[in-house]
Amino acid sequence: MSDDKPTRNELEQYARQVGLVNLTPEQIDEFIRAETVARDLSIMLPRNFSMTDEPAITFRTREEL
Amino acid sequence: MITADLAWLTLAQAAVLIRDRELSPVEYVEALYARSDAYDNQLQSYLRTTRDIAISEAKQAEQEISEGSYRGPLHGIPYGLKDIIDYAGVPTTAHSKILEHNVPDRDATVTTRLREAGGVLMGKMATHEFAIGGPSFDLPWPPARNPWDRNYFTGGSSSGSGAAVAAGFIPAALGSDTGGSVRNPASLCGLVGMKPTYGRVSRAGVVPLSFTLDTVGPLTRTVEDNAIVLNMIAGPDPRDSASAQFTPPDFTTDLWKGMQGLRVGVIRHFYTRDMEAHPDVTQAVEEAVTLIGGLGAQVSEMQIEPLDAYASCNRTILLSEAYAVHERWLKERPSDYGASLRQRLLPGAFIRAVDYVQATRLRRRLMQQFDEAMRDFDVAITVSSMDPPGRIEDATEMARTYPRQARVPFNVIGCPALVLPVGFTESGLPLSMQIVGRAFDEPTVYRAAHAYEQATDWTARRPPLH
Repeated sequence: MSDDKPTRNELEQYARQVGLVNLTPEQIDEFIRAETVARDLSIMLPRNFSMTDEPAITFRTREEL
Repeated sequence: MITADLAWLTLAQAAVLIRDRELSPVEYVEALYARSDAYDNQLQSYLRTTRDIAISEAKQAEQEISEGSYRGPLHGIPYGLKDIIDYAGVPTTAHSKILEHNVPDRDATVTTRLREAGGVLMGKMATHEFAIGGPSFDLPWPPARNPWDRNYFTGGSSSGSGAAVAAGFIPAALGSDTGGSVRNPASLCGLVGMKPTYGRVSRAGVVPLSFTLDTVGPLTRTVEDNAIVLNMIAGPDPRDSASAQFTPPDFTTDLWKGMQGLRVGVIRHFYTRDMEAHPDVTQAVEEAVTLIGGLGAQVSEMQIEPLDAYASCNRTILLSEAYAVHERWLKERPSDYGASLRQRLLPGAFIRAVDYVQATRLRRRLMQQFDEAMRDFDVAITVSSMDPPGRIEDATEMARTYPRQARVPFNVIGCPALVLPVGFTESGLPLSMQIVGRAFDEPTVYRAAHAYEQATDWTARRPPLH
């Protein structure tokens, strides 16, 4: 996907690429709105550009805290 | 004892009566079914009752207890399962046409544990479709309704579990919580709901929504009952790769230690700055905070990251993982989903890998920050829902209020979070607060909640079913 807002044709093509070939026209409309939701979410997400190594998530116990 | 009295027994009270052979599990089950037969046509909390199983399990419990083989406080106790949790031979539909004919051949681990404890399955409870996406009116079954006023939302996604416990149909039910789905219905139905630490309770045999966020927890009418149920379902499980590999403590041990000396942090910015809660909610929670201080806790304000950071982190992870769960059905059977769920799942097709990675990095930072903040506190308090229950058929109000909540942060960071009632609106709808602990420190959360509960009478109120 480009950084610019994709056209309806591009989104219909993308739906087919990802295997969503059984969507009705109304569901294609939902798919187009979903692209906006994901785009907005990506903009909102705080980002970390540091090069620090990232160990996996773990939970610490009461005793360890 | 008449039916209404049996309906409002706490689990702990019923357990003592059953143990002492003053209450027959069979009569208990029959009384509770009589109540749900009378009222559940208004609430639709059950997707399916399991009468044959319940009577059989109750008879077995009665027989064993009469022979002196009492298993413990769940022996002969009725419960419900959110219909994403497997009980072998009983359909698990996830309240969806997609799984309408799905019959598991094996119990979920939590089900096995409840069965081994002598629990009595009363039925499978309504949920939002696949534990997200409701309330929906285009599914094979209607949505559950709030016993305090059936025109209002139960909260979700463990909607039937909340409605049935609040209505006195069962003393306890299990739900799941990925972004607040135990705590939301518990909040809006006036119950106690616990989201345990991630990994504390097995999810094996539970239909997944988001692998790294999903938890299973109990909904009950009292704090003690909640701790009793968690005692039965918690613990390591080789069937769940995220299961914590150490034996849990007895969650009832600290219940009576009181509030004295506890260091309580109030995460006030969640409901005054990051979002502005409804005045009824703010007032009820602030009154609770004042009471908690009066009970001997050291109360001060606590600052963590704003709600937005948690919300975007949770949504990015949840949408990515949920799309992975549902990709095949979205390709093959998109029209078999309700519109609400389909619309919530489809953004997952657009989440970029880099965003998922960034959300995971953010998650780790939020966990570290919360751990550091909690060095000065034993528990934290904040709101659960920003608003009282909304009208279930008002789509605009549902859309406005659904994301206005402070539950998601504790799914992101994985720590235990419990909700309990702190009052009612003028029209009699429940209000709730949230008590949060360090990872794997459910005992202190229960201790604080129990001390507050003992000093108030909110959990003793009953919804006006007619």
